[in-house]
Amino acid sequence: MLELLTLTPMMLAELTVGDKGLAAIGAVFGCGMIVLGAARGIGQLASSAVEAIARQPEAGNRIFTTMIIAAALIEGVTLFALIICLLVAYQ
Amino acid sequence: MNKCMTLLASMKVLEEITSKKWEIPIGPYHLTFTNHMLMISVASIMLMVILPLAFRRPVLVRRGFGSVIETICVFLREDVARPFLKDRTDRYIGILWTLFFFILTMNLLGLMPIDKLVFLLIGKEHFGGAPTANVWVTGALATFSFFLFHIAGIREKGLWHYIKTFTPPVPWPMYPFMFLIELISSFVRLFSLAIRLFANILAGHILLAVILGFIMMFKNFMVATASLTVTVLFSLLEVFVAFLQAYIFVFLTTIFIGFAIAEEH
Repeated sequence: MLELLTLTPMMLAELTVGDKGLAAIGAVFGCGMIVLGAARGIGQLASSAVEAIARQPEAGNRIFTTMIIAAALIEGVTLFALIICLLVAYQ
Repeated sequence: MNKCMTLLASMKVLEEITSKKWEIPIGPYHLTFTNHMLMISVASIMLMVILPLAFRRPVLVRRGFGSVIETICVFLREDVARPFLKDRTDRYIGILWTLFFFILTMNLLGLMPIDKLVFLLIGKEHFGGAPTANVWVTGALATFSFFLFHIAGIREKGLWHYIKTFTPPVPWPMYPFMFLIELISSFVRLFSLAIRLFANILAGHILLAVILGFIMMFKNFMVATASLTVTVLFSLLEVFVAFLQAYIFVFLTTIFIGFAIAEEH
């Protein structure tokens, strides 16, 4: 797995896809969907947080802390799914 | 200087996240010692040496390194633990402080190029690594946290009452179903704590490795400049992620302890 991870840029240049083509397609498509969901979720979170701080600047510190915690939790789910993508792609 | 550059270029970029073993034969058995175990030992010995030295004298206003540690400790006690653990903060705060500083030290040790420095000085490879980039290490920490909040609940309430809190007030035919869901949810908490910490640190290291791998792929001076700049910037992000993930781990553990020792509504 490690050689594949370090040689991935070189492999993209050669584009030789053997039996593992379907797994690679599935993994890369899954990775794209994961990023879509995560970016939408965290973007909505950040937008609500900024709007809330604009309404009430005194609560800025607490809102910021809550935003960071929620972003880290969403990121945890994202990376969990990404690990499954990596398991599929390099198995 | 040339020798340094060629020596460093011969190391693989993903050295930090792989786990490399030495087999120490003791009698008929083999004792396996990996480089991640070595880094855990280094982190714990660092903490056991540095923290008591910073807090040797009891003064009211600290200066220097002790002031940083004290700020972090006060923040963890007042803003993280006290809102959830209200009365029993002082019972659990020691272990939460330990967990935070241990995870933080392990994360930050993973960002330092210790194996490459050791390779330059001594010539032996496979010494450093990020312990938290190993799912077994974070799994062990999450198991520790799992036992911590269950045993906290059992100590505060007694075994039978604690198991009774697993069943919220619903009509009695649904009791086995709700009990199963609550039991599964506590295992899911274990896995999510382990995987969150592991995946964040691992993803950071893989990202740095891929960006550094571009240098070997293109073999160009401009690419090397851009790649090293981006590596430095992402390493700053990784420092932030190190602090954040340690804080999130301790915060979630505090919340789970708070749920376990909560009074009946």
